Amino acid sequence: MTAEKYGLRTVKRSGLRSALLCVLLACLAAVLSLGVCIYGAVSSYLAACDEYYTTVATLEYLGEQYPNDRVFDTELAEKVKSGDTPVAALTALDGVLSFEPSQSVFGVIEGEIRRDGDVYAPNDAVLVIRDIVWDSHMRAYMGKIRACVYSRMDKSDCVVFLTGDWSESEEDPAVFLPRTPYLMQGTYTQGDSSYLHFEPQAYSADLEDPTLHAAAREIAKMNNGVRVQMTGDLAAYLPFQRGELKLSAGKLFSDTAAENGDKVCVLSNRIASLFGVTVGDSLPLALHFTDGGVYAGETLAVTDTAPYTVVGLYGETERYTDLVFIPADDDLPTTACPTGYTMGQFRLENRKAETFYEAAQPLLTEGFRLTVYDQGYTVTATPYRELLTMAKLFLTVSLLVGAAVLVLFGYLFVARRKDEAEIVLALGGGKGHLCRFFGAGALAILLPALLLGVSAAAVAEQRVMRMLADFAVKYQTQDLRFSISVMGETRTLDFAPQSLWWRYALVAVGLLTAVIPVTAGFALLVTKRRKAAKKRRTPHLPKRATRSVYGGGRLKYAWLSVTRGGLRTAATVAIAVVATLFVGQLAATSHGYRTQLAAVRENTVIHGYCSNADGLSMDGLTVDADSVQQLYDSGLLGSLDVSREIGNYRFLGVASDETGKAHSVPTVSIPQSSFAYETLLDQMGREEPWIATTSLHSNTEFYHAAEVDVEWLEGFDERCLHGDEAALCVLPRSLAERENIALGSVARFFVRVDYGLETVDLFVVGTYVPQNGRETLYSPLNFTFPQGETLFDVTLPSVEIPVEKTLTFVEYTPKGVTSHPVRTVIADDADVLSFYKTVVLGSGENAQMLKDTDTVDLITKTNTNVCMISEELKTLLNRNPDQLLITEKGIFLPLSDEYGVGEYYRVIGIFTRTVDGMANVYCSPANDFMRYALAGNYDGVNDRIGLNSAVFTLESTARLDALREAMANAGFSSVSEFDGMRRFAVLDDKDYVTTAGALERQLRYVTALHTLLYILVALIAFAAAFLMQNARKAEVAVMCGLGTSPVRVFSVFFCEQALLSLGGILLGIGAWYIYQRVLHPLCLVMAAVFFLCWLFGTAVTVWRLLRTRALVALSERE
Amino acid sequence: MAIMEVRDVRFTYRTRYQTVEALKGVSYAFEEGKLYALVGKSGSGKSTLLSLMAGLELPSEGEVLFRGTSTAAMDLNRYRREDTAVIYQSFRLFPLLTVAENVAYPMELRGRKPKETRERAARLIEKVDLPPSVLDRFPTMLSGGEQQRVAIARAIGGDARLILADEPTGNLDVENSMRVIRLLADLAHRDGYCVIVVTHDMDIAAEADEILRMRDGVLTLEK
Repeated sequence: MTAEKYGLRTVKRSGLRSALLCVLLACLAAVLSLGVCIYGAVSSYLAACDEYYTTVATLEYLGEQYPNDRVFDTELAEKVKSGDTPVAALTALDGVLSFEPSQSVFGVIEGEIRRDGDVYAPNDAVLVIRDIVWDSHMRAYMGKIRACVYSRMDKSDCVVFLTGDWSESEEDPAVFLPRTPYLMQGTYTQGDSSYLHFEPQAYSADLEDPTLHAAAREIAKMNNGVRVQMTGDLAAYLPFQRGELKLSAGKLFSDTAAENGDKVCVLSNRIASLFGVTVGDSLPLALHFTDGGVYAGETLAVTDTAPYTVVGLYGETERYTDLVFIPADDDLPTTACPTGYTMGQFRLENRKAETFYEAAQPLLTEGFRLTVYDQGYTVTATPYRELLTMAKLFLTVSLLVGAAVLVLFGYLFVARRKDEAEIVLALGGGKGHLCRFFGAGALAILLPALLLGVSAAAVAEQRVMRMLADFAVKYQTQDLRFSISVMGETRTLDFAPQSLWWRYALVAVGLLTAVIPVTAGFALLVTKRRKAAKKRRTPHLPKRATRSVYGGGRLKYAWLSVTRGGLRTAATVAIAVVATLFVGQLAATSHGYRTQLAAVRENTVIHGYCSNADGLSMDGLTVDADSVQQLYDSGLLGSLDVSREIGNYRFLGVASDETGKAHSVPTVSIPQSSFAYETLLDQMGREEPWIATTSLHSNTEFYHAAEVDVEWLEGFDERCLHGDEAALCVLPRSLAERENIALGSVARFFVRVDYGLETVDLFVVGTYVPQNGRETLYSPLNFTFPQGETLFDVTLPSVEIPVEKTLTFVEYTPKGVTSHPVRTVIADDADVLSFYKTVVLGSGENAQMLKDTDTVDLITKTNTNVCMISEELKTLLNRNPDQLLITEKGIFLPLSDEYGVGEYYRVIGIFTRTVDGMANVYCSPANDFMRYALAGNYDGVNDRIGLNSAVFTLESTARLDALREAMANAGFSSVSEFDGMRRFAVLDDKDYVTTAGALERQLRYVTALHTLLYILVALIAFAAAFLMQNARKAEVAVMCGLGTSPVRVFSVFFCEQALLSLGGILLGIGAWYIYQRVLHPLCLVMAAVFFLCWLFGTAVTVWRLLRTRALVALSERE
Repeated sequence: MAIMEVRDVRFTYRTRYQTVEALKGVSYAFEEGKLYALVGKSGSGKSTLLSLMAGLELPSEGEVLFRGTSTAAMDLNRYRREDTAVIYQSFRLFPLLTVAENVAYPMELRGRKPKETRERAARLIEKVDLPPSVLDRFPTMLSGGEQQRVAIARAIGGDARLILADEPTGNLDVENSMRVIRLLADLAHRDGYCVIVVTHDMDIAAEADEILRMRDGVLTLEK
């Protein structure tokens, strides 16, 4: 124990040195501990992210049926059958875990009665109609519904007009026998009329006709059938993955259910409620398979019926109401082609989704689109992936520094005590003794150092982790509102790492196992005698005589030192050259990224469009013109194109041909009778659409088309749609060819518009190839807005907003129509509020609120579409409840405005009319009305103007964030945000966000790294200059000894180094220019910084040397 | 009048661990035409006294008088440039300057013209018994003795009358040591320089006119 005892004693007695070494090792332990903790925490977090997030990519076909996901697309079916899809190629890409084709089948749950409007044939019915007579005034048959064999609407005893191709002149007695009831299969037709219309397709006087009864059963089955979606992993299925559907009870079945062939299902709450089942119960479900998809079969054959156990319930949404999910089962026959436009979805590895997306783009054949939904994984994980890289770097550097520190420790603790080692050996201690001597001391220093370092790291860990989390949050600050890349639910996973003791133990053990061998190694090293004599270091000096130089002034010595400096001169120049090339490379790299980013920004055009709640640009949208106008007024848009459906058209003939020759064209007379007028209106409503637009591309028909095939009349192009001339049209080419309509002719159309029916003549300026199977007629947007204010450079009419909206509840009764005026309530109107409190609500006797909270709802600014009805009206409604919409959420009353536009208002209370003149209904202001009424200064323009589509481009990608802000201010919502706003817009910026985001990240990295490297270069310049001049201490001292003034000494050295470093920099710049042919300003700036730092280092050193006592310098051995 | 006189000179310097009183009231007057040998043990204060006389330091107390003027009142750079010359044990020649340029350096500091400088350098090299061929050589091409003689030529090139030599023979063999000390003695006796040589070699000291011994910072005349 002698060795250990003396080893420990020497440590104790060399207190300061031991303390310093202890601190050194403690710092190392702390740094390594933090490095291990950070690496462990970040990698654990990323692993947790991989578990937590699910990334899928949907493969969609943008065919004629897009974006209708409830119909069978024959075009897609053909592609699937012929194998002309990119599925196989995409499945082979790296990062794909699986591909699940969209498999849905038609299911029937006996007893199911669907109430949503998305059923197969909502208006089909089989009715018994009696008392059919010919109404000569109406020029149609009319009858009375005696019974409904099948109808979604109970219209018993209602008078109905039978539409069809009847002889217009006289009654055809052969059609219907008088006073004979008929069993009819047909369709309710909708028109503007308040009368009921029914178009029979088959009828029989035999009321028991088996064919029609079978048809009734079939229609009922079809209309009450549910779509059954088969999937392997329900959690990864898009609606659940996106967060559109959320589980309200039970659980989602997993892929093991599919493997086991379990008969389990997940239902909507509505179905569960309807059948009184809950989680764990069983529900018989009959599956029907057809080759053509869910609704393609004319007749349905049950191929599989089994009780399915309910394992989970979800809250239905507008889009997903009666969807039933069951596990994919290989034993069940599947449809060859999916229903809808979604071919299927890929399950992807989270971290490879981006590379998959990039690799997939070239493989997508025409018409196919791939969309990645990652639940926000990229946004969340990317900063942590960067952190992991940094953590690896930090840990590697820490280990290298640790190795250096251990060597330094060995040198300071052992090698510098060579004398002691020799004494130990001289006194007969062997190598083992020596190792124990130093080893004991090393342990005595290391153990407290470990305690200190690990404790410090443990204390600092949480703070460091918070810093990392803050960094990640700042890193994630990329604004992705409205981005197409975040259309799904964005999930968040908090970074909350746990402090794990074993990480510290790992570091402690690692250091222990490293320090002991290092100490022993150095101890053994010092025992070895050096055999070779210490080689004398000789500086490079001239070896040949040269011609002496006399005179030359002050700088002669500097110049001679430069020219004769040999290695010293070369070293200085070489350092300057290398440093210049290095900063040149850094500047070039940085410049390269900036150039790429600028190029991406310049060459990228970001498109945006208004969409539905799913982010789809589709027909039937109602885009608020005022919001679009606000967006336009922001000045951020490069282009804006909108379209608005004017109505429907019927081609009458060519009024004048391309030569100007007039032709006789038959006209359509407007019927005088209301029935005939409404019938014509109804018929015209089914004609092809007539759309006013500023660009063909802005219409959903062409939105996904690669190009629009348009043949323009000479002198015209698409700009004419944006011009002042309104009476123009672009025809479908099929119509032009069929009707022989030439470009330049004037075509006459009979049209149905908002205000009725009329005949218009339009100058034909182009023909196009339709994309969606319809023959839409396009005219300039100006056609709809000939006068008034400006919208998107197109003149618009000014619409006055009424201060108080006039709503009406129209009650239809067999005796006629009764209109009930409705009073609206403006919440901030004190008088009305007071009226409500005192009269309507009263003391509680007169008013009966359905819920207490609804009282507040009605009188708040934010709640809309609620109403209270009088007792009298309630009695009336009880007689005729069909006019109400009854759902789980309550009873809804339809109210229509002066334009006939109706909205449902939830009935929240019933009151007794106690004051004369009180209305039967009081309701809250309508959405738009309330908004504008409260805004105060709203000028009334564009209100109620709904656009069918709006597409736009961003003027400059550099202002993308500003556009996002402007969109938010204009009242648009992101698709991913399921909030109250119902105006959705999408920016198609995925490629830009991906590319520019990556470049910006790289640039941030490069900037940070380069800043460090520039500082390092500057430090190196200073340090090199310092060290090189410091070695010339004697030279300075001799000069001083010979009486050279300090200024002269300083100037000699300063000029010499300026000359050398400048020469090196110029050489470096020259070499860089020859190599790259370009010089970046940053390179010159950094070269200048290097030069200044070098001179600064020289100046500091020489100044310091001049202050050194010459005696000390001169008495030192060379 | 003495060319150099030290009067009750004390010099104290501080190290990390202690304060050292290197000179404890040294007084002596040095005359032109004489060779002085300053002997003593290592650490006795010889070199310190020499650096005070060379104007590299100023005394803590007392005065160092050159021709009756205290160095404290002088421009020390000018004093070193014009009035004194120091010869070091390790020669302290500029390695990148030729022999001629080394010798010419003090002359150029004084502003002499190039032609005059060149001729005088050649004469001085001849004076210290070196062949003219060494003029364009670099110091490292010469032997130790030759380098020291170049250092002596550089010392006398500046017209200084006080030559201070700090162990000038410390790095030389006996033969070269004797050549250098005799050269210095010639400069004192023949050319009238005041030459003060610090040495611990008594054979060298024996060539001096006066031997002064430093012991613990106190100067005593030994011969």
